[in-house]
Amino acid sequence: MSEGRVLLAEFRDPETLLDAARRARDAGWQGLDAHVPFAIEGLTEALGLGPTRIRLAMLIGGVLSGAFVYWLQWYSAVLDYPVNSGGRPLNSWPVFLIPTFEATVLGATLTGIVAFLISTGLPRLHHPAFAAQGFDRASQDRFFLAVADPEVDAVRLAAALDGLGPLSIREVG
Amino acid sequence: MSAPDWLRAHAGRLFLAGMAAALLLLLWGLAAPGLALTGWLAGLVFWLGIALGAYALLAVHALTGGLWLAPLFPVLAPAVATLPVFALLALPLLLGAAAVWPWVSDPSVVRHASVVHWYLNLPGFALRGTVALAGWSVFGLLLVGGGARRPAVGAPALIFHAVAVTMIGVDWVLSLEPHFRSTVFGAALGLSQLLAALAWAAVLEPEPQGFRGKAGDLARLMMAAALGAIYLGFAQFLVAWYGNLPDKAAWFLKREALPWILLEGVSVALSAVLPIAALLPTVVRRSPRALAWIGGGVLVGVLLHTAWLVGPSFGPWALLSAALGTVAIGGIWTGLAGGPFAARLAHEVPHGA
Repeated sequence: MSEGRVLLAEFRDPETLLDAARRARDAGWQGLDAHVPFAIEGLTEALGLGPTRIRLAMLIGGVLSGAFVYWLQWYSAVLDYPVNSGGRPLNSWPVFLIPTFEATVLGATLTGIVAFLISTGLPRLHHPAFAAQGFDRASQDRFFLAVADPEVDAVRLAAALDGLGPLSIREVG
Repeated sequence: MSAPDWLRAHAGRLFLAGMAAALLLLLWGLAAPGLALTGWLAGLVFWLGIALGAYALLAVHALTGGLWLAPLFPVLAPAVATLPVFALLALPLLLGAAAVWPWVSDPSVVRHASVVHWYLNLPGFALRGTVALAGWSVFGLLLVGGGARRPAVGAPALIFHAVAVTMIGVDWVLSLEPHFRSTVFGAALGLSQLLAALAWAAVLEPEPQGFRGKAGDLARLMMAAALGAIYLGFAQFLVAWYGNLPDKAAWFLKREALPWILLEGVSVALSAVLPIAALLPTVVRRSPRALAWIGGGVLVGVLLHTAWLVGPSFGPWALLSAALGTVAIGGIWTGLAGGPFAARLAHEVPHGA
């Protein structure tokens, strides 16, 4: 997500977009992104985007949340209000595991949502690409490759995409 | 050489090995029919479980459609098509039922006479077993032969399965110790069968020709099934632990003694912790080799769990007979399913609309 000048190449179908993305990646360009109406398998690899760090955030969030809830149960049952319930141990781990599991899932999910919002800069009301005429079709039936590399201009992009027949190549921002 | 090719090439030898183990069990059965038949039961529950898991997956696909089943079909279809074989393999148990299930010869071990009168009696047991195995066989052949998506087969097949797997779980496994009850047992059994079938597919063909790069789908299915199976299995334990009633506690206490607790410990590690933890990284999920190894671990885990369920009523020697029973039924079944049946079904790949 880079601000400023962005080159947009528009395509009719996902296969051509994948080809275009691979060419841009192989050319070693920076700031690659795609705007597409649905998830396309292999697009992340084609754009050469690294693995997302959201997983790590979710793992940490889940573990912390689970550990906290287990500790909460342990504290209330063992230290704060110990009750002998039918001879069961105060630290009744088989029962404690269920809320711990649920809290782990909840913590991981919430962390994932927050990490997603932060890493994508959402919610944002404006993006340079919105200036392109017909860009709203990226949510319908058009596939856009975005290149935000200061070294690349429209001419170089057009040369790189030669033969793929982009519907348009525009510079926005 | 891929695993299915290996199975096909060695079908005859596998069948002979199975027959040899069956013969050993038969000789053992002359001296100790209960022990030998328990081993046979353990083997049957394990291998039938793989076929029934495959049955459930095919039935779900008949309802939902989609491409997800296509890579698994060449492995699952022969397993489902050979369900009638299990009806024959179950016959020794019916003939020797008195040696295995205590309530056959002494109905007074069941607490309520009405239960014996209405449910837990030999004619009812035979009838339910026959209906279940016959129904699975018929629906199974319809599912395999169906080709395209057919909800009209899938829906009744699944409903029948839900009832039948619960009945068979109670009849064959739980009634070994008639005082123990667990309402979730059938569902837990059904889920671990799903897991076993997916693991079977992972071992044999994690990424068949024409589906390169798709191993991740099977990995995700396996992970979900493993989570479900351990969740229900744990819920069953938790309810008994929390309720703290003598009969339920006795069932678990017997299984907490050596050597059984070791079996279940290894089983949880292999069939729950291994698939759930190891399949978390994308790299592992996409590696067919890793999937095959994990699938193998899961299968061993499910097998140990089966032995843990069935064996403790008969003492530690049941471990040996369960091993023999597993080789016997596994050999006979894979000899048939991997050989003549697989060859005919290998090229029929349906993928509903």
